[in-house]
Amino acid sequence: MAVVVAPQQVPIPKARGERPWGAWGLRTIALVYLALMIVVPLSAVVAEGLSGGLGGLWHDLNKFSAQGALFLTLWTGAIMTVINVVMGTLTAYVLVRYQFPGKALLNAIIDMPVAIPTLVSGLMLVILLGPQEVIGKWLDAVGIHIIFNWPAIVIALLFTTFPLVVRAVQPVLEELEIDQEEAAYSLGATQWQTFRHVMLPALRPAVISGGLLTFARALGEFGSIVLVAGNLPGKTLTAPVYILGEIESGSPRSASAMSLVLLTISFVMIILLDWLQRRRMARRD
Amino acid sequence: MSVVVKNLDKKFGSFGAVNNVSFEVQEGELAALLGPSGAGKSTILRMIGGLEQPDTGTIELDGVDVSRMSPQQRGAGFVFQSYALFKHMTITQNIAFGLEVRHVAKNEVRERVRELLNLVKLDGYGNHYPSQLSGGQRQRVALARALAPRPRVMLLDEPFGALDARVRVELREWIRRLHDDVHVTSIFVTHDQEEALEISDKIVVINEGNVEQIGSPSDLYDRPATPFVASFIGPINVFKGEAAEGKATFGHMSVPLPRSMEQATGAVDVFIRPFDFFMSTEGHDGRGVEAKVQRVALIGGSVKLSLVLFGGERVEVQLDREHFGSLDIEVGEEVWLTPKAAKVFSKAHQPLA
Repeated sequence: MAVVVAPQQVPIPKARGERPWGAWGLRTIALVYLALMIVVPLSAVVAEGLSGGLGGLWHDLNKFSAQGALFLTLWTGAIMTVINVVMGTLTAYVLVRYQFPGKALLNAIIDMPVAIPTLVSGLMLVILLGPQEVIGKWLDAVGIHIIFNWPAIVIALLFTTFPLVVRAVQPVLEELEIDQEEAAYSLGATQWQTFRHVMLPALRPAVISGGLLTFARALGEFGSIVLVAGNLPGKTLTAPVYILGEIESGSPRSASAMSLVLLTISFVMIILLDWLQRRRMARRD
Repeated sequence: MSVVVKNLDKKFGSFGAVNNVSFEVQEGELAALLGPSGAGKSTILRMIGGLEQPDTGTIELDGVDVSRMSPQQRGAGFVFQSYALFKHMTITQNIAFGLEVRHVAKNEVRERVRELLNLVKLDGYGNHYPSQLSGGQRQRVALARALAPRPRVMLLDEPFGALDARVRVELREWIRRLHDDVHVTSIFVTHDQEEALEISDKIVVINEGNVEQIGSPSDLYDRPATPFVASFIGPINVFKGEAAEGKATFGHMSVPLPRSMEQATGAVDVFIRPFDFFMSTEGHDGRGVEAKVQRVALIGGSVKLSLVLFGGERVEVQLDREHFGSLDIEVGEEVWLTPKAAKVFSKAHQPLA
């Protein structure tokens, strides 16, 4: 006969002593801070962007300059993300798996683009590639126009986002035992087969989250782009630069409309990133 | 498929990990590289597999020098202590990997995987992931994966190292049976002398990057070439003594020197295995020495006694249980010990007996 034992009523001891006010106080401070610093400004932009209703939003965005800017931001961001994912993964692999002189220095330099003000990054590229400079003059002469053209946007973005993929992939690679690679080699797999079938599956979540982070960062990049690309509508005017232009010409609603679009895209990416990270955590063991 | 290693040298920085190592493993043999941790055994195995490059020396597989070949070209199956299974692949995919990278036909792969799952007694586990298996099962998958492309030689690096004691013993007995079925030339690395003695045909004892001795388990046990081998293979008592007039004398005991070294004099070390003592309750012929029983431990079919000689030296003696019973000894009693066999090494580490 099955014996059913009634769950006993055990008084739950108060966690962390008798200081409920302390704990709630901390939570309240954190939540209020979050609301003031993030939720309220976000709501303000959303409210402003939608102040003319959905029709108004559509009207604000249905302009050649707005759509061109958004489109330019998306496709340059996409190209750059692909390059960064490939090169960032490669860099991380080299940093983890090979020994060479200057490795420690390189490892330290990788984070520089994040620490440098983006305007300074832009300035560096202008100095390097500008039409009056040696390299720029030579490139101009052979018919390659980088500065004030879309390649400048891609290069500026590559520079400012370079660490994001490297730093996402590197720790995962470090954790990956070399045994698995060696096992693959001894089973007859080529280096490429080993990378493709053994390492990449293990790295994929990190590569994807690094890529998403890169793209999200690219959507908002302003400082470096405004110097190297200029603001030709439909040609070199990116969405963040467009927003500045709209504010300066006194149409905050139009600026908010574009902001709303960028916000939505970023939000989707962050949700995706979060979901990916949760899945990776759940898969461990 | 034979393996011949000649004058292998490998330095890591200024540390000589492997020094002038040479040995041969015959077709179909199961050989052990035995030595303490850090002795260089794994480095030797990795060099045979092509995972590490020797500084000098050659490795021949079936008479072909493979020293400069990549691991892919050597056709050696490698099994790691950590299993090194591909975590994102199922057991089937793991075993099939070595065949698929060689573009073996799909139905052939399926047939071979089925055959191997059966061989390693994991039928029905094909769709599991490595994380769902126990340590012993994972190591069997690693074996099946290494066997799949029909390697010319199997290299196992501390294959039982990460397993708990009972599984270790089971798995090593199973590996010996598997080897008798599959008969692929195999070399495994271990620091456990019991493991090496139990399952290998040949043992290469490595110490500090050097080969100490090569031989069958009974060779090493009965005829150790160096004091290191004598003390590493199986328990042994070591006494400091003097050689003179054809005898090695230690404490109140003495053993005859071998005929070849009858003239030797000076300090020697005398090694006597716990089983190589004759024990009685009364003295006889003047060769024996008195000792006091301190501890008696029953170990399965034999009895281990710890004794103290009158000089204060400790001695471990092992007797079979029947003999022990007939002596009727208790802790605290005094007995007579006579060495039946001994290995004598001079200080220059020359074996004298």
